Amino acid sequence: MANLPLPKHGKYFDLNVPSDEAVSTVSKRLTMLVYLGYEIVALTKFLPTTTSSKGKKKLIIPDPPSKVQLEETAEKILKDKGAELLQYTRITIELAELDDVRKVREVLNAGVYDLVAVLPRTEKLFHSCCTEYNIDIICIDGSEPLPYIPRHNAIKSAITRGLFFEVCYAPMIRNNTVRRHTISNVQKFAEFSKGKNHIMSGAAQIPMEVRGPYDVANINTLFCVAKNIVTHTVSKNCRAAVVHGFSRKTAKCAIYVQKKDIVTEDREIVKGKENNMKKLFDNNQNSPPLKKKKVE
Amino acid sequence: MVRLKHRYIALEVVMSKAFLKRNMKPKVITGAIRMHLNNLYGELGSASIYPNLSVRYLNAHTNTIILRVRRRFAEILLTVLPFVTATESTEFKNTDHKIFFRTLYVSGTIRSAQKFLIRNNPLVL
Repeated sequence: MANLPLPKHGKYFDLNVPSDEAVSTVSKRLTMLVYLGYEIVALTKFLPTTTSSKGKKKLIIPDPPSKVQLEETAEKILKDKGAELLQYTRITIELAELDDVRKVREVLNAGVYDLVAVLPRTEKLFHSCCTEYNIDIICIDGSEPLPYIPRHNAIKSAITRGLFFEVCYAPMIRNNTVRRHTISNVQKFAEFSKGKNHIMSGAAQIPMEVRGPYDVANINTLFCVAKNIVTHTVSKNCRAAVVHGFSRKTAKCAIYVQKKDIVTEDREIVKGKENNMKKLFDNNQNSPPLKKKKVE
Repeated sequence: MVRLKHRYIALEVVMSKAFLKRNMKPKVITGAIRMHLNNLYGELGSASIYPNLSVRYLNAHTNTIILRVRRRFAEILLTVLPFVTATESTEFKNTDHKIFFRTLYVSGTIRSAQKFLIRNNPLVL
């Protein structure tokens, strides 16, 4: 699995780094993240709801943020570790009306973003997010007490489909009321999900709001999540979300075949050659082309 | 035989430019933690934890601290530490972040915490 753009196990993730501002501010945040030990990051763009009383306007989806170049200090830290900072792209769509659903459809059709996240505001939309839409992450917002009651059925079906519930910790650090709201909201989710498929991410606006992965995992004990699952919210579940986003891009394919790197007796590494892969696929000349699943 | 059991937490303090290094003293740090304990856990939390909290080691050069807590309250303290941002009550209402803590290691003895800091010292000896 060396050539797949998937992260390795055992790394720490921060899947929400707002990239709506200039590149220099974003790179400052990334240096802090790298210093604290994070190795995988997702740059976010936020799509707020548009309440237009006029007719249907043409929808413009923002371009995905390009890869940010790191500052020197961050590159030095990564070089010493021998690691790399993987940057994914992500979009957060706020759903408040039924009209916003077509935004989700258009984003999925464009297929430019690695991760698609959704912020539902009503009960119906939340239920359809959990059961129907082809998304990766459902955000739990802390700016207001939950406008809907999460039902057991919806959460259970979301977990079986492989969706993740995301909590942002940086707004909690900034503001007291947001802290109260997020704690009460996430506890309602944790009653049914027991901390399964939860993700912690920071929507940090300044580098001093970022916290280390161990600290972020400890915030989960406030949400009545069991202590043995607490570190999964920063590493294992985030990786599963990225893999889920990747699997959305590959049409119906379920198997990737690659030749492994071999270490010979002389301790040299012979890389898996690409020629052998072509041979494998040429054998199935009679098989029809892979059909792309109709995206909702 | 009653033995008091503790947890030793090794922290690193990450400071912004607004924080003066000569302000890094044990009282300042325990005061900051107490303020945020009161904010998050209220009077019960701060009253039960603050007297059982002390700074056992402080190094201004490497920005490392070893805190000592009663074992019962270690868990609660670990949940409060991410929320500590400011050290003085006058600036608490601003969103002016001055410091934050990064937990490195939690252990039952001070020796193992010291050993950890020696092994993972960022400065080359």
